[in-house]
Amino acid sequence: MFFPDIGIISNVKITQYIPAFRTESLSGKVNTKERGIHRLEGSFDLTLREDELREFEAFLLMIRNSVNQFDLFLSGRFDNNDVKTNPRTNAIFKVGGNGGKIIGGTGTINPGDYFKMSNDPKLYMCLTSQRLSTGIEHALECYPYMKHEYSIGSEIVFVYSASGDKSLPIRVNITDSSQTLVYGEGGLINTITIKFQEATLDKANA
Amino acid sequence: MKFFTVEIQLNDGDGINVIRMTTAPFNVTLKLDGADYEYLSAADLLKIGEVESSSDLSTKGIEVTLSGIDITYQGVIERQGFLKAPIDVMLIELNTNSNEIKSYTYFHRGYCDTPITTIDYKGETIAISVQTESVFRDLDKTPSLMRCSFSTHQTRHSGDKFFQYVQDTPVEEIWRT
Repeated sequence: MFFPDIGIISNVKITQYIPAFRTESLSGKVNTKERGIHRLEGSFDLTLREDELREFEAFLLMIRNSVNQFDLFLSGRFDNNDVKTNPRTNAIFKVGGNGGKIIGGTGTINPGDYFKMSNDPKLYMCLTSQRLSTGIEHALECYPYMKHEYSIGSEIVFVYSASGDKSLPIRVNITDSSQTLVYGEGGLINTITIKFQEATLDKANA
Repeated sequence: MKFFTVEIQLNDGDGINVIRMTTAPFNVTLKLDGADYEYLSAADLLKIGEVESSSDLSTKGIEVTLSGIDITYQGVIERQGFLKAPIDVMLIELNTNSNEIKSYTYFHRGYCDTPITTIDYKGETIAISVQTESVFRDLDKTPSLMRCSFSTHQTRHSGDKFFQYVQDTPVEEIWRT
């Protein structure tokens, strides 16, 4: 299911949720340990016209508010304009690994570009910058750690061809089981704040 | 990175037999004695309770909480699958950039009791909490070992008078301090 392409999205906030262990002793020494868990969370305001209201409320009931997952296209930050075609893996990307050798594709990948692997909605972030080319191998370092193993030749999706503007979708769940739509200006300008979190740490997307 | 793994060997002839879960965000593998054991990250581990070490031999266990939203566990609970099921909770370290277990230590080993299912409508959660007993639970019971008494010896070696002068009172074997 996709978030309907209606209304104006504004005031977008994105949080990188990376829980860790951290203690501070009486002498001020800080000990930290990572847990390897990463999730995108965020919120945005949606402003709807009177004629867009019903379609949106039907969507909320289709996803049953917080129960079902859907794909959210936020464009902008999730658009990798410097990448023209996607590279492929040139080594086995192992579970728990942080990337590996890639080959092919055209354009440049920049640190901070999101990407996903085929058949898995989790968004990973590329931490290295490389100019992609057909014959030469490059190293891709990413976070979080790979959730599945990918064989050589697997596509690394920086540009998502299934969406009109090629921007990457975030697979999310709405966090509140209750949603309130404010019917403002006599129903002409309606607003709702949507709080979401990435839905990729559950059985359906394991 | 350190993670927990929980392994429960259910006494269930029908369906699930061993559940292996981990708190890592991806599946982890333990290679032991030539076999691979996979601990699933998409499993339903909600909480691992506190462990208290004591210098007495006791049956103190811990509480492990699983998610009850998937109803598969209810069938297992009804078939007494959790009762006396061996449970191992391990603290593991992984090799760098890999999901293979480099080293592990046992956090708790014991046996499960029948789980309690709690449905919390306000908190919007269904949890199955399993209380465990440590491996020492068996030490307080009457031992099933053979006794060195004349009568016991006679049942196996009729006519042999080796233990005929041994006092015939049965003795309890108690391992507690």
